[in-house]
Amino acid sequence: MVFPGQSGVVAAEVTAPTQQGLLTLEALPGGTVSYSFTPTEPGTYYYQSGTNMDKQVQLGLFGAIIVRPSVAPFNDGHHAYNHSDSQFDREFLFLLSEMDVNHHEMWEFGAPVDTTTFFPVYWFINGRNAPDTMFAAGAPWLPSQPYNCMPMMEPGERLLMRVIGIGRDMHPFHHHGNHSRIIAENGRLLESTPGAGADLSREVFTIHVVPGKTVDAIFTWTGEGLGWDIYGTGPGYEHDCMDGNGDNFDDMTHEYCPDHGKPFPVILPTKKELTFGGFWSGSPFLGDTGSLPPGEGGLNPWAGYTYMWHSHNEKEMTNNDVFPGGMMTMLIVVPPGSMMMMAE
Amino acid sequence: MRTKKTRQFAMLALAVATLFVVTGASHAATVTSNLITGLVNVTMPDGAVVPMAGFGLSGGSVSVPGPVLEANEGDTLVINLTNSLPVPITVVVHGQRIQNPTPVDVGGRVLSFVPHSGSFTFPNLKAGTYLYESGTHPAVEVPMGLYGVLIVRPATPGQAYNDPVSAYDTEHVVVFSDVDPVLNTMVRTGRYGSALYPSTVKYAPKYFLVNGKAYPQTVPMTANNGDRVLLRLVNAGNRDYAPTLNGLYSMVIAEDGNLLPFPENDLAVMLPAGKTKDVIVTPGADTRYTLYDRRLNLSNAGTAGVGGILTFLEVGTVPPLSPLKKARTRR
Repeated sequence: MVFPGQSGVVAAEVTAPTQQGLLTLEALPGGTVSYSFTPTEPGTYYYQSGTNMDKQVQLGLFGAIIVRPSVAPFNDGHHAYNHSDSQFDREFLFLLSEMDVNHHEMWEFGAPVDTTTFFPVYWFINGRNAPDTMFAAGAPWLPSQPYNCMPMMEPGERLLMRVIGIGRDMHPFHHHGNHSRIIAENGRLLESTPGAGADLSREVFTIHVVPGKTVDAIFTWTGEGLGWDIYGTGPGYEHDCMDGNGDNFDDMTHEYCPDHGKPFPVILPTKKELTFGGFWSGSPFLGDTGSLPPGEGGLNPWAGYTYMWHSHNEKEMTNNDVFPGGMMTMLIVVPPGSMMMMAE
Repeated sequence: MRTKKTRQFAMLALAVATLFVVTGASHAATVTSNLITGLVNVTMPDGAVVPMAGFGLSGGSVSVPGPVLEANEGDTLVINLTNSLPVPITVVVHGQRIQNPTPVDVGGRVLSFVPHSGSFTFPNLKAGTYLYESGTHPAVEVPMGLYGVLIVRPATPGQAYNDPVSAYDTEHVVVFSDVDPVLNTMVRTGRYGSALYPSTVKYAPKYFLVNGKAYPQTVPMTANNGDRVLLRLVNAGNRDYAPTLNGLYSMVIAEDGNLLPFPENDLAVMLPAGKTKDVIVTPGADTRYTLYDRRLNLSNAGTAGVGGILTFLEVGTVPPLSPLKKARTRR
């Protein structure tokens, strides 16, 4: 195993047989090697096989490492680094990989694998393909794929994306809904001098994910400037926008007050003229549900807003030629208070 | 007021310094490289013999990659080319100005980026790491092996650029490339362009090279513990690579011969086709650091064992590598 970004890794034999490999001490079948190091720098990292990597990493021998900051007050579980620029309300992992299923089958049958012919047909986030990415973590019917990836947030929150390229290919990971701000790469804040904070951070709407690199980005969604009232207008939708602290947003609902009372600018088609997705709540307004035909909807009980987050190499949104799937999930922006209810 | 005056003085001093540099450049020399082209057969680690073409120095032999050319910032580089291949060959240096950039059209299609000539002139060179390659039918001639590296040194010795961030103790040129042996064989046997291999659209590389060799033929680089090691990374291939050094961060200081405003700490350096990046690594132990492509191009045409883009940075005295030797146990 190798641990890129960590220093002073010591590899020692626990149980024979082991052997010195091209990168580190290797455990031969039946052997055990211990690898030890003291993580000194907080950040997003990964581990992987350091042996026959073109085969073993592709077979799935990899994972993520998150090193938490240790300096108060940044050791509160809501900072990625020892600086306030890395503050977040929620964090999600995006460990991106891909699979050439032919290589796996040849390996299973004991046939030689020519990895120069690599041609992936499955694409993964945290070891799952869409739509599995959106099922619950630990779903019993996915026993060897315990991690999901369904980012959820309330308006105005800071969502930390921990993005790792662990496969062989680059992936343009596109997050609809807003730009994100890349604050760190490879476990290092983008700072001009130590302690400066993320002063070299930059905004993107597609994260260029490179094999062997990690990216930490802060995503926010506020609804600012949509041009209509996200909580609806007219009879049944009476509400106030109370901006006590002068940040242009309601202090409780995070509504963008300059758009308060502006009507939804689209005349919605009638139900007969629509086809329905599982995330459609029946209403365009945040936290509001409308009537749906029997059997429709149901994936969005909090009536949140949904944004597709996916590889913008559109081919990678398939499962062995079947669309939709692959490297794709949905961000759900849920009404304020929903996350607390979910936690209960 | 005093502060403002001081600042004005500083600006003046800077202006004078700039003038000095410009004046220095006008005294620059003309550097002449006499290059040849030729055929060469490269034996890959699996025993396959791949017909290639390469550049060489006049009076010497050709190689893949070609010879590393060196000049100083502000120099004029003149490359005189003696071409023994049966097709036109030219030389372009990506990122440097060429004196006569008129392309050569054949039947309304560009065949060469620059005129067919025996001499190519690049005035007022810019410091940095650059890729030179054939500017004629590059889709074929470059993967055949007609590429090399030009290093342009700044006025300050021991630096890659006119900035102390680029100071180094040891430097190495690391050229990445790839080979589709079928293309090379088709070109050598005159069958390229036939139904057997109509174009490079289906180019499918089987060998992945560091400085012209695939592991285990790659030649380790050396450095001393604590050195600032400058690696001039150059991608002369048709695929994108992500070179990574196990156990070390790579500090990227420049790309395409341009100094970055702030260095970037990378675990895997994204190196697209045609790009150069200068990185500085600082080894902290006497050991063998493994440099490999994190895109995992680690196979020699599918043969058993590790191949492709993998080599070592050997720091201090390291024991010979014997992968199958059992490691010493802790007891």
